[in-house]
Amino acid sequence: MALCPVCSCLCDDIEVVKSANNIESLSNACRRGTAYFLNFNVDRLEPSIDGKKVEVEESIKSAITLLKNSRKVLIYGLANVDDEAQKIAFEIADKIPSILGDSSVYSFLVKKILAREIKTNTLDYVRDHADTIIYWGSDPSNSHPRHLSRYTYYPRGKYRQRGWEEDRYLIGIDVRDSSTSKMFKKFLKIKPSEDVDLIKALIISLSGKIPNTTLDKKTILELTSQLKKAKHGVICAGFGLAQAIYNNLELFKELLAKLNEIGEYIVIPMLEGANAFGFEKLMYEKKIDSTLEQLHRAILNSEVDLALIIKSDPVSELPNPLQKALLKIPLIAIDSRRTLTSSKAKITIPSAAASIEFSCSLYRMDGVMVRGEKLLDSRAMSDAEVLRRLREGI
Amino acid sequence: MASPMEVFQLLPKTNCKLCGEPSCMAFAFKLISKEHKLEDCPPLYQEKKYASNREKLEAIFKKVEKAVETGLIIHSEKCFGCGNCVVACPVNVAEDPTGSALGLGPKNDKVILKVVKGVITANNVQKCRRFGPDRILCNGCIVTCPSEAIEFV
Repeated sequence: MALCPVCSCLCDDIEVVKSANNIESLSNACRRGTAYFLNFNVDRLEPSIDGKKVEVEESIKSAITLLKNSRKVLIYGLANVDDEAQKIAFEIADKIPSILGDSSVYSFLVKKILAREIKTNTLDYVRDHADTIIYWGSDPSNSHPRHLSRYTYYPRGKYRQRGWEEDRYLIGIDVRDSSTSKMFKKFLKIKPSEDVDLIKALIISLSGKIPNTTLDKKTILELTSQLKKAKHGVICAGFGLAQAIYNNLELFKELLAKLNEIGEYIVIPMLEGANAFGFEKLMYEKKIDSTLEQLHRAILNSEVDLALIIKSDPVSELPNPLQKALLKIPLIAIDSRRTLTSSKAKITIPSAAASIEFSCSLYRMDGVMVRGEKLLDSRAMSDAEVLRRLREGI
Repeated sequence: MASPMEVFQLLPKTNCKLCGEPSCMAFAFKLISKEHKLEDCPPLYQEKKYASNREKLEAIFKKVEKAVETGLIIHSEKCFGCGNCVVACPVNVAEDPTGSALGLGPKNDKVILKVVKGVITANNVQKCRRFGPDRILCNGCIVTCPSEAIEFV
Protein backbone atom coordinates (compact mmCIF):
# COMPACT_ATOMS: atom_id res chain seq x y z
CA MET A 1 0.00 0.00 0.00
CA ALA A 2 1.33 3.39 -0.99
CA LEU A 3 0.45 6.90 0.12
CA CYS A 4 -0.60 9.48 -2.45
CA PRO A 5 0.92 12.88 -1.56
CA VAL A 6 -0.92 14.99 -4.16
CA CYS A 7 -3.81 16.58 -2.27
CA SER A 8 -4.54 16.72 1.44
CA CYS A 9 -6.88 13.67 1.33
CA LEU A 10 -3.65 11.60 1.56
CA CYS A 11 -5.20 8.32 0.34
CA ASP A 12 -3.16 5.50 1.84
CA ASP A 13 -4.85 2.57 0.08
CA ILE A 14 -3.06 2.83 -3.27
CA GLU A 15 -2.00 -0.52 -4.72
CA VAL A 16 1.13 -0.21 -6.85
CA VAL A 17 2.61 -2.59 -9.43
CA LYS A 18 6.31 -1.74 -9.70
CA SER A 19 9.32 -2.88 -11.67
CA ALA A 20 12.98 -2.41 -10.65
CA ASN A 21 13.01 1.37 -11.03
CA ASN A 22 9.60 2.43 -12.20
CA ILE A 23 5.90 2.19 -11.42
CA GLU A 24 4.05 0.17 -14.05
CA SER A 25 0.46 0.40 -12.88
CA LEU A 26 -1.63 1.34 -9.88
CA SER A 27 -5.18 1.04 -8.66
CA ASN A 28 -7.52 2.99 -6.36
CA ALA A 29 -5.83 6.36 -6.98
CA CYS A 30 -7.75 9.14 -8.74
CA ARG A 31 -6.47 10.76 -11.93
CA ARG A 32 -4.42 13.33 -10.03
CA GLY A 33 -2.68 10.63 -8.01
CA THR A 34 -2.25 8.37 -11.03
CA ALA A 35 -0.57 11.16 -12.97
CA TYR A 36 1.85 11.73 -10.09
CA PHE A 37 2.81 8.06 -9.68
CA LEU A 38 3.08 7.15 -13.36
CA ASN A 39 5.02 10.25 -14.41
CA PHE A 40 7.33 10.81 -11.45
CA ASN A 41 10.31 9.75 -13.56
CA VAL A 42 9.42 11.84 -16.62
CA ASP A 43 11.16 15.17 -17.23
CA ARG A 44 13.29 15.06 -14.07
CA LEU A 45 14.93 18.25 -12.90
CA GLU A 46 18.68 18.57 -13.54
CA PRO A 47 20.96 20.59 -11.26
CA SER A 48 21.86 23.89 -12.96
CA ILE A 49 23.18 27.40 -12.42
CA ASP A 50 21.97 30.13 -14.82
CA GLY A 51 20.62 27.47 -17.15
CA LYS A 52 23.94 25.60 -17.39
CA LYS A 53 24.03 21.99 -16.21
CA VAL A 54 26.33 21.47 -13.19
CA GLU A 55 26.92 18.92 -10.43
CA VAL A 56 24.49 18.87 -7.49
CA GLU A 57 27.25 19.86 -5.06
CA GLU A 58 28.00 22.98 -7.09
CA SER A 59 24.39 24.09 -7.25
CA ILE A 60 23.99 23.55 -3.48
CA LYS A 61 27.18 25.55 -2.84
CA SER A 62 26.08 28.51 -4.93
CA ALA A 63 22.61 28.36 -3.36
CA ILE A 64 24.26 28.64 0.08
CA THR A 65 26.27 31.68 -1.10
CA LEU A 66 23.10 33.35 -2.41
CA LEU A 67 21.21 32.60 0.83
CA LYS A 68 24.05 34.00 2.97
CA ASN A 69 24.24 37.25 1.02
CA SER A 70 20.54 37.97 0.68
CA ARG A 71 18.73 40.76 2.50
CA LYS A 72 15.51 38.78 3.02
CA VAL A 73 14.53 35.37 1.61
CA LEU A 74 11.08 34.18 0.64
CA ILE A 75 10.71 30.48 1.53
CA TYR A 76 7.77 29.29 -0.54
CA GLY A 77 5.88 26.03 -1.08
CA LEU A 78 6.23 24.39 2.32
CA ALA A 79 2.62 23.17 2.19
CA ASN A 80 3.73 20.51 -0.28
CA VAL A 81 6.70 19.01 1.56
CA ASP A 82 6.89 16.48 4.37
CA ASP A 83 7.04 17.17 8.07
CA GLU A 84 10.81 16.66 8.46
CA ALA A 85 11.65 19.05 5.59
CA GLN A 86 9.27 21.67 6.98
CA LYS A 87 11.00 21.62 10.36
CA ILE A 88 14.41 22.11 8.72
CA ALA A 89 13.02 24.95 6.58
CA PHE A 90 11.82 26.63 9.77
CA GLU A 91 15.33 26.28 11.19
CA ILE A 92 16.72 27.96 8.05
CA ALA A 93 14.16 30.72 8.59
CA ASP A 94 15.51 31.18 12.13
CA LYS A 95 19.09 31.56 10.86
CA ILE A 96 18.57 34.11 8.08
CA PRO A 97 16.08 36.98 7.65
CA SER A 98 13.17 35.44 5.80
CA ILE A 99 9.45 35.25 5.24
CA LEU A 100 7.62 31.92 5.08
CA GLY A 101 4.58 31.63 2.93
CA ASP A 102 2.22 29.70 0.79
CA SER A 103 -0.63 30.59 -1.51
CA SER A 104 -3.26 29.16 0.84
CA VAL A 105 -6.02 31.38 2.26
CA TYR A 106 -6.92 28.90 4.97
CA SER A 107 -4.25 29.78 7.54
CA PHE A 108 -6.56 31.94 9.69
CA LEU A 109 -9.16 29.16 9.77
CA VAL A 110 -6.63 26.45 10.68
CA LYS A 111 -5.21 28.70 13.41
CA LYS A 112 -8.67 29.05 14.95
CA ILE A 113 -9.13 25.28 14.71
CA LEU A 114 -5.78 24.67 16.41
CA ALA A 115 -6.68 27.24 19.09
CA ARG A 116 -9.88 25.22 19.67
CA GLU A 117 -12.06 28.21 18.89
CA ILE A 118 -13.67 26.32 16.00
CA LYS A 119 -14.81 22.75 16.54
CA THR A 120 -13.36 20.05 14.31
CA ASN A 121 -12.83 16.30 14.28
CA THR A 122 -11.13 13.65 12.21
CA LEU A 123 -12.38 12.47 8.83
CA ASP A 124 -12.77 8.95 10.24
CA TYR A 125 -15.21 10.39 12.78
CA VAL A 126 -17.02 12.12 9.91
CA ARG A 127 -17.32 8.81 8.06
CA ASP A 128 -18.78 7.05 11.08
CA HIS A 129 -21.14 9.76 12.32
CA ALA A 130 -21.91 12.57 9.85
CA ASP A 131 -25.49 12.76 8.64
CA THR A 132 -25.53 16.26 7.14
CA ILE A 133 -22.60 17.25 5.00
CA ILE A 134 -22.25 20.78 3.63
CA TYR A 135 -19.71 21.63 0.95
CA TRP A 136 -19.46 25.39 1.02
CA GLY A 137 -17.52 27.12 -1.75
CA SER A 138 -15.74 24.01 -2.89
CA ASP A 139 -15.78 21.52 -5.76
CA PRO A 140 -14.30 18.36 -4.24
CA SER A 141 -14.78 16.32 -7.42
CA ASN A 142 -11.98 18.29 -8.98
CA SER A 143 -9.88 19.48 -6.03
CA HIS A 144 -10.04 16.38 -3.80
CA PRO A 145 -11.60 13.70 -6.06
CA ARG A 146 -11.86 10.98 -3.40
CA HIS A 147 -13.11 13.19 -0.56
CA LEU A 148 -16.78 12.28 -1.06
CA SER A 149 -16.18 8.58 -1.63
CA ARG A 150 -13.60 8.00 1.12
CA TYR A 151 -14.73 10.12 4.01
CA THR A 152 -17.94 12.05 3.84
CA TYR A 153 -20.94 11.03 1.77
CA TYR A 154 -20.73 7.62 0.09
CA PRO A 155 -19.02 5.28 2.60
CA ARG A 156 -21.03 3.30 5.11
CA GLY A 157 -19.85 4.39 8.54
CA LYS A 158 -20.19 2.62 11.86
CA TYR A 159 -23.37 4.52 12.77
CA ARG A 160 -24.40 5.30 9.20
CA GLN A 161 -24.84 1.82 7.76
CA ARG A 162 -27.36 2.85 5.13
CA GLY A 163 -24.83 5.27 3.71
CA TRP A 164 -25.67 7.90 1.17
CA GLU A 165 -29.02 6.44 0.12
CA GLU A 166 -30.83 7.12 3.39
CA ASP A 167 -28.53 8.09 6.25
CA ARG A 168 -26.75 11.09 4.83
CA TYR A 169 -27.85 14.39 3.35
CA LEU A 170 -25.50 16.30 1.06
CA ILE A 171 -25.86 20.07 0.77
CA GLY A 172 -23.88 22.28 -1.57
CA ILE A 173 -23.43 26.04 -1.52
CA ASP A 174 -21.46 27.54 -4.36
CA VAL A 175 -21.41 30.39 -6.86
CA ARG A 176 -21.40 28.13 -9.89
CA ASP A 177 -22.50 24.74 -11.16
CA SER A 178 -19.60 22.37 -10.81
CA SER A 179 -18.93 18.68 -11.33
CA THR A 180 -20.08 18.05 -7.76
CA SER A 181 -23.24 20.19 -7.86
CA LYS A 182 -25.17 17.43 -9.64
CA MET A 183 -24.71 15.09 -6.67
CA PHE A 184 -26.00 17.43 -3.97
CA LYS A 185 -29.43 16.57 -2.58
CA LYS A 186 -29.84 20.31 -2.06
CA PHE A 187 -27.78 22.81 -4.03
CA LEU A 188 -27.91 26.49 -3.21
CA LYS A 189 -26.44 28.64 -5.95
CA ILE A 190 -25.57 32.08 -4.66
CA LYS A 191 -24.05 35.15 -6.27
CA PRO A 192 -20.38 35.93 -5.63
CA SER A 193 -19.87 37.71 -2.26
CA GLU A 194 -23.35 36.67 -1.05
CA ASP A 195 -21.90 34.18 1.45
CA VAL A 196 -21.93 36.72 4.28
CA ASP A 197 -25.59 37.58 3.61
CA LEU A 198 -26.37 33.86 3.66
CA ILE A 199 -24.60 33.39 7.00
CA LYS A 200 -26.55 36.33 8.48
CA ALA A 201 -29.84 34.98 7.10
CA LEU A 202 -29.14 31.50 8.46
CA ILE A 203 -28.38 32.86 11.94
CA ILE A 204 -31.76 34.62 11.97
CA SER A 205 -33.71 31.70 10.53
CA LEU A 206 -32.09 29.24 12.95
CA SER A 207 -33.48 31.40 15.77
CA GLY A 208 -36.96 30.76 14.39
CA LYS A 209 -37.49 34.10 12.68
CA ILE A 210 -37.94 34.91 9.00
CA PRO A 211 -34.82 36.72 7.75
CA ASN A 212 -35.03 40.03 5.95
CA THR A 213 -32.74 39.26 3.03
CA THR A 214 -32.32 39.57 -0.72
CA LEU A 215 -31.80 35.83 -0.98
CA ASP A 216 -34.75 33.55 -1.70
CA LYS A 217 -36.49 33.20 1.68
CA LYS A 218 -38.17 29.90 0.85
CA THR A 219 -34.81 28.28 0.03
CA ILE A 220 -33.27 29.63 3.24
CA LEU A 221 -36.14 28.23 5.32
CA GLU A 222 -35.90 24.84 3.57
CA LEU A 223 -32.17 24.77 4.20
CA THR A 224 -32.70 25.72 7.84
CA SER A 225 -35.23 22.94 8.41
CA GLN A 226 -32.74 20.47 6.90
CA LEU A 227 -29.94 21.78 9.11
CA LYS A 228 -32.17 21.41 12.16
CA LYS A 229 -32.59 17.68 11.47
CA ALA A 230 -28.86 17.00 11.83
CA LYS A 231 -27.30 15.21 14.78
CA HIS A 232 -23.77 15.26 13.43
CA GLY A 233 -23.19 17.93 10.80
CA VAL A 234 -20.00 18.76 9.01
CA ILE A 235 -19.14 21.93 7.10
CA CYS A 236 -16.39 21.34 4.53
CA ALA A 237 -15.06 24.86 4.19
CA GLY A 238 -13.77 25.40 0.68
CA PHE A 239 -11.86 28.24 -0.90
CA GLY A 240 -15.07 30.25 -1.41
CA LEU A 241 -16.16 30.14 2.21
CA ALA A 242 -12.64 30.78 3.48
CA GLN A 243 -12.40 33.95 1.41
CA ALA A 244 -15.88 35.09 2.45
CA ILE A 245 -15.28 34.71 6.19
CA TYR A 246 -11.73 36.06 6.13
CA ASN A 247 -13.00 39.42 7.43
CA ASN A 248 -16.17 38.07 9.02
CA LEU A 249 -14.93 35.28 11.23
CA GLU A 250 -17.03 36.32 14.25
CA LEU A 251 -20.17 36.00 12.15
CA PHE A 252 -19.19 32.49 11.09
CA LYS A 253 -18.47 31.56 14.70
CA GLU A 254 -21.92 32.86 15.64
CA LEU A 255 -23.46 30.61 12.98
CA LEU A 256 -21.50 27.63 14.30
CA ALA A 257 -22.64 28.38 17.85
CA LYS A 258 -26.27 28.49 16.65
CA LEU A 259 -25.83 25.22 14.76
CA ASN A 260 -24.19 23.56 17.76
CA GLU A 261 -27.30 24.31 19.82
CA ILE A 262 -29.15 21.90 17.51
CA GLY A 263 -26.58 19.16 17.01
CA GLU A 264 -22.87 18.68 16.78
CA TYR A 265 -21.49 20.71 13.86
CA ILE A 266 -17.81 20.57 12.97
CA VAL A 267 -15.64 22.28 10.34
CA ILE A 268 -13.16 20.57 8.03
CA PRO A 269 -10.97 22.97 6.00
CA MET A 270 -10.56 21.74 2.40
CA LEU A 271 -6.80 22.39 2.37
CA GLU A 272 -4.99 22.05 -0.93
CA GLY A 273 -1.31 21.28 -0.33
CA ALA A 274 -0.54 17.73 0.77
CA ASN A 275 0.95 18.88 4.08
CA ALA A 276 -0.75 22.27 4.38
CA PHE A 277 -2.05 21.35 7.82
CA GLY A 278 1.46 20.51 9.02
CA PHE A 279 2.74 23.88 7.76
CA GLU A 280 -0.04 25.81 9.50
CA LYS A 281 0.55 23.76 12.66
CA LEU A 282 4.24 24.69 12.73
CA MET A 283 3.38 28.35 12.05
CA TYR A 284 0.92 28.22 14.97
CA GLU A 285 3.35 26.49 17.33
CA LYS A 286 6.14 28.94 16.52
CA LYS A 287 3.66 31.83 16.74
CA ILE A 288 4.62 33.19 13.32
CA ASP A 289 1.85 35.42 12.06
CA SER A 290 2.04 35.55 8.29
CA THR A 291 -0.99 36.42 6.25
CA LEU A 292 -1.46 36.11 2.53
CA GLU A 293 -1.51 39.91 2.18
CA GLN A 294 1.85 40.23 3.93
CA LEU A 295 3.29 37.63 1.58
CA HIS A 296 1.92 39.35 -1.53
CA ARG A 297 3.09 42.75 -0.32
CA ALA A 298 6.59 41.38 0.31
CA ILE A 299 6.78 40.09 -3.25
CA LEU A 300 5.21 43.15 -4.90
CA ASN A 301 7.26 45.73 -2.96
CA SER A 302 10.53 43.81 -3.47
CA GLU A 303 10.98 43.36 0.28
CA VAL A 304 12.50 40.00 -0.54
CA ASP A 305 15.55 39.75 -2.81
CA LEU A 306 15.73 35.94 -3.13
CA ALA A 307 13.16 33.16 -3.25
CA LEU A 308 13.73 29.56 -2.14
CA ILE A 309 10.96 27.57 -3.78
CA ILE A 310 10.38 23.97 -2.71
CA LYS A 311 8.13 21.47 -4.55
CA SER A 312 5.94 24.25 -5.84
CA ASP A 313 5.30 26.22 -9.01
CA PRO A 314 4.41 29.83 -8.07
CA VAL A 315 5.36 31.24 -11.49
CA SER A 316 2.44 29.36 -13.04
CA GLU A 317 -0.04 29.48 -10.15
CA LEU A 318 0.25 33.02 -8.74
CA PRO A 319 -1.62 35.99 -10.29
CA ASN A 320 0.17 37.85 -13.06
CA PRO A 321 1.50 40.93 -11.14
CA LEU A 322 2.98 38.62 -8.50
CA GLN A 323 4.55 36.42 -11.16
CA LYS A 324 6.22 39.41 -12.77
CA ALA A 325 7.50 40.66 -9.41
CA LEU A 326 8.77 37.20 -8.53
CA LEU A 327 10.67 36.87 -11.81
CA LYS A 328 12.63 40.04 -11.05
CA ILE A 329 14.45 38.36 -8.15
CA PRO A 330 16.73 35.30 -8.37
CA LEU A 331 14.96 32.00 -7.65
CA ILE A 332 16.32 28.78 -6.16
CA ALA A 333 14.06 25.88 -7.16
CA ILE A 334 14.07 22.51 -5.38
CA ASP A 335 11.84 20.00 -7.12
CA SER A 336 11.77 16.47 -8.45
CA ARG A 337 10.44 17.40 -11.89
CA ARG A 338 10.85 20.36 -14.23
CA THR A 339 8.25 23.12 -13.78
CA LEU A 340 7.79 26.60 -15.20
CA THR A 341 9.38 28.00 -12.03
CA SER A 342 12.42 25.73 -12.31
CA SER A 343 12.94 26.76 -15.95
CA LYS A 344 13.05 30.42 -14.83
CA ALA A 345 15.18 29.72 -11.74
CA LYS A 346 18.78 30.87 -11.31
CA ILE A 347 19.71 27.72 -9.41
CA THR A 348 17.93 24.37 -9.57
CA ILE A 349 18.50 21.52 -7.12
CA PRO A 350 16.87 18.15 -7.88
CA SER A 351 15.21 16.19 -5.10
CA ALA A 352 13.44 12.84 -4.90
CA ALA A 353 9.70 12.24 -5.31
CA ALA A 354 7.87 12.11 -1.97
CA SER A 355 6.46 8.76 -0.81
CA ILE A 356 7.88 7.05 -3.95
CA GLU A 357 11.62 7.57 -3.50
CA PHE A 358 11.69 8.47 0.18
CA SER A 359 9.43 7.80 3.16
CA CYS A 360 7.55 10.80 4.49
CA SER A 361 5.09 11.86 7.17
CA LEU A 362 2.32 14.25 6.22
CA TYR A 363 -0.64 15.81 7.99
CA ARG A 364 -4.06 15.19 6.44
CA MET A 365 -6.56 18.08 6.22
CA ASP A 366 -8.08 17.03 9.56
CA GLY A 367 -4.74 17.05 11.38
CA VAL A 368 -4.07 13.30 11.41
CA MET A 369 -0.50 12.30 10.59
CA VAL A 370 -0.19 9.73 7.79
CA ARG A 371 3.06 7.97 6.95
CA GLY A 372 4.04 6.88 3.44
CA GLU A 373 6.82 4.34 3.03
CA LYS A 374 9.16 4.56 0.05
CA LEU A 375 8.57 2.27 -2.93
CA LEU A 376 11.76 2.56 -4.97
CA ASP A 377 15.43 3.24 -4.32
CA SER A 378 16.82 6.47 -5.67
CA ARG A 379 20.09 8.35 -5.73
CA ALA A 380 18.31 11.70 -5.52
CA MET A 381 18.28 13.43 -2.13
CA SER A 382 15.02 13.86 -0.26
CA ASP A 383 13.66 17.37 0.34
CA ALA A 384 14.80 17.19 3.96
CA GLU A 385 18.34 16.21 2.93
CA VAL A 386 18.65 19.11 0.47
CA LEU A 387 17.38 21.57 3.07
CA ARG A 388 19.67 20.07 5.72
CA ARG A 389 22.66 20.66 3.43
CA LEU A 390 21.56 24.27 2.92
CA ARG A 391 21.06 24.75 6.66
CA GLU A 392 24.52 23.40 7.46
CA GLY A 393 26.11 25.73 4.91
CA ILE A 394 24.59 28.99 6.10
CA MET B 1 -28.02 6.54 -25.54
CA ALA B 2 -30.72 7.38 -28.08
CA SER B 3 -34.33 6.34 -27.45
CA PRO B 4 -36.17 3.96 -29.86
CA MET B 5 -38.17 6.96 -31.14
CA GLU B 6 -34.99 8.86 -32.04
CA VAL B 7 -33.68 5.82 -33.92
CA PHE B 8 -37.04 5.35 -35.66
CA GLN B 9 -37.01 8.94 -36.91
CA LEU B 10 -33.72 8.25 -38.71
CA LEU B 11 -34.91 4.98 -40.34
CA PRO B 12 -36.67 4.96 -43.77
CA LYS B 13 -40.13 4.62 -42.06
CA THR B 14 -41.52 2.72 -45.09
CA ASN B 15 -42.29 -0.51 -43.18
CA CYS B 16 -40.88 -2.48 -46.16
CA LYS B 17 -40.35 -5.57 -43.93
CA LEU B 18 -37.06 -6.43 -45.70
CA CYS B 19 -35.40 -6.76 -42.30
CA GLY B 20 -37.89 -9.41 -41.27
CA GLU B 21 -39.68 -7.20 -38.75
CA PRO B 22 -43.30 -6.05 -39.15
CA SER B 23 -42.45 -2.35 -38.93
CA CYS B 24 -39.59 0.15 -38.76
CA MET B 25 -40.53 0.89 -35.12
CA ALA B 26 -40.07 -2.78 -34.22
CA PHE B 27 -36.74 -2.74 -36.03
CA ALA B 28 -35.69 0.33 -33.99
CA PHE B 29 -36.42 -1.51 -30.72
CA LYS B 30 -34.48 -4.58 -31.86
CA LEU B 31 -31.55 -2.40 -32.93
CA ILE B 32 -31.29 -1.01 -29.41
CA SER B 33 -31.60 -4.43 -27.79
CA LYS B 34 -28.81 -5.60 -30.13
CA GLU B 35 -30.97 -8.26 -31.84
CA HIS B 36 -30.47 -6.58 -35.20
CA LYS B 37 -27.64 -4.68 -36.82
CA LEU B 38 -27.93 -1.60 -39.02
CA GLU B 39 -26.82 -3.66 -42.03
CA ASP B 40 -30.08 -5.65 -41.75
CA CYS B 41 -31.93 -2.68 -43.27
CA PRO B 42 -31.09 -2.81 -47.02
CA PRO B 43 -32.75 0.48 -48.13
CA LEU B 44 -30.59 2.41 -45.68
CA TYR B 45 -27.49 1.33 -47.59
CA GLN B 46 -28.89 1.11 -51.13
CA GLU B 47 -30.77 4.39 -51.47
CA LYS B 48 -28.85 7.64 -51.60
CA LYS B 49 -31.51 9.73 -49.86
CA TYR B 50 -30.94 7.86 -46.59
CA ALA B 51 -27.14 8.39 -46.63
CA SER B 52 -27.11 11.27 -44.12
CA ASN B 53 -29.51 9.47 -41.77
CA ARG B 54 -27.37 6.33 -42.00
CA GLU B 55 -24.29 8.28 -40.93
CA LYS B 56 -26.15 9.63 -37.90
CA LEU B 57 -27.32 6.13 -36.98
CA GLU B 58 -23.81 4.73 -37.35
CA ALA B 59 -22.52 7.45 -35.01
CA ILE B 60 -25.17 6.50 -32.42
CA PHE B 61 -24.41 2.78 -32.56
CA LYS B 62 -20.65 3.21 -32.57
CA LYS B 63 -20.91 4.23 -28.91
CA VAL B 64 -22.80 1.03 -28.05
CA GLU B 65 -20.14 -1.24 -29.54
CA LYS B 66 -17.99 -1.00 -26.41
CA ALA B 67 -20.87 -1.83 -24.07
CA VAL B 68 -20.42 -4.99 -21.98
CA GLU B 69 -23.06 -7.74 -21.87
CA THR B 70 -25.12 -5.95 -19.21
CA GLY B 71 -25.19 -2.82 -21.34
CA LEU B 72 -22.69 -0.93 -19.18
CA ILE B 73 -20.63 1.64 -21.06
CA ILE B 74 -17.69 3.40 -19.42
CA HIS B 75 -16.46 6.58 -21.06
CA SER B 76 -12.96 6.40 -19.63
CA GLU B 77 -12.02 9.74 -21.21
CA LYS B 78 -14.57 11.46 -18.94
CA CYS B 79 -13.79 9.51 -15.76
CA PHE B 80 -11.52 11.11 -13.17
CA GLY B 81 -11.25 8.20 -10.82
CA CYS B 82 -13.09 9.64 -7.80
CA GLY B 83 -14.32 6.16 -6.93
CA ASN B 84 -17.86 7.28 -6.01
CA CYS B 85 -19.32 4.41 -8.04
CA VAL B 86 -16.91 1.91 -6.43
CA VAL B 87 -18.22 2.83 -2.99
CA ALA B 88 -21.86 3.29 -4.01
CA CYS B 89 -22.32 0.04 -6.03
CA PRO B 90 -24.45 -2.33 -3.88
CA VAL B 91 -22.64 -5.39 -5.23
CA ASN B 92 -19.23 -3.92 -4.33
CA VAL B 93 -20.51 -3.21 -0.81
CA ALA B 94 -21.90 -6.74 -0.39
CA GLU B 95 -18.80 -8.45 -1.75
CA ASP B 96 -16.25 -6.27 0.03
CA PRO B 97 -17.69 -5.02 3.34
CA THR B 98 -14.29 -4.07 4.81
CA GLY B 99 -12.97 -2.27 1.72
CA SER B 100 -15.29 -0.59 -0.77
CA ALA B 101 -18.10 -0.28 1.76
CA LEU B 102 -15.91 1.88 4.01
CA GLY B 103 -14.66 4.07 1.18
CA LEU B 104 -11.34 2.30 0.70
CA GLY B 105 -10.14 0.63 -2.48
CA PRO B 106 -11.53 -2.90 -3.09
CA LYS B 107 -9.71 -5.57 -1.08
CA ASN B 108 -10.67 -8.55 -3.25
CA ASP B 109 -11.39 -9.43 -6.89
CA LYS B 110 -15.08 -10.23 -6.43
CA VAL B 111 -16.15 -6.62 -6.93
CA ILE B 112 -17.54 -5.20 -10.17
CA LEU B 113 -16.08 -1.71 -10.26
CA LYS B 114 -12.49 -0.78 -9.49
CA VAL B 115 -10.31 2.23 -10.29
CA VAL B 116 -7.22 1.18 -12.26
CA LYS B 117 -4.74 3.74 -13.60
CA GLY B 118 -7.05 6.58 -12.63
CA VAL B 119 -10.14 5.36 -14.50
CA ILE B 120 -12.95 3.01 -13.66
CA THR B 121 -12.90 -0.58 -14.95
CA ALA B 122 -15.64 -3.23 -14.78
CA ASN B 123 -15.11 -6.92 -13.98
CA ASN B 124 -17.59 -9.67 -12.96
CA VAL B 125 -20.36 -7.76 -14.77
CA GLN B 126 -22.67 -10.78 -14.55
CA LYS B 127 -23.08 -9.91 -10.84
CA CYS B 128 -24.58 -6.51 -11.72
CA ARG B 129 -28.11 -5.95 -10.39
CA ARG B 130 -29.16 -5.08 -13.96
CA PHE B 131 -28.27 -8.56 -15.18
CA GLY B 132 -30.03 -11.92 -15.06
CA PRO B 133 -33.69 -12.92 -14.61
CA ASP B 134 -34.18 -10.97 -11.32
CA ARG B 135 -32.75 -7.76 -12.69
CA ILE B 136 -33.76 -4.38 -11.31
CA LEU B 137 -33.15 -0.88 -12.61
CA CYS B 138 -30.31 -0.13 -10.18
CA ASN B 139 -28.62 3.18 -10.97
CA GLY B 140 -26.12 3.45 -8.10
CA CYS B 141 -23.13 4.01 -10.33
CA ILE B 142 -24.86 6.39 -12.75
CA VAL B 143 -26.31 8.93 -10.31
CA THR B 144 -23.10 9.08 -8.28
CA CYS B 145 -20.85 9.85 -11.23
CA PRO B 146 -19.95 13.56 -11.33
CA SER B 147 -18.68 13.43 -14.91
CA GLU B 148 -21.40 11.26 -16.50
CA ALA B 149 -18.81 8.67 -17.47
CA ILE B 150 -21.09 5.66 -16.82
CA GLU B 151 -24.06 4.84 -19.00
CA PHE B 152 -26.37 1.86 -19.56
CA VAL B 153 -27.99 0.95 -22.87
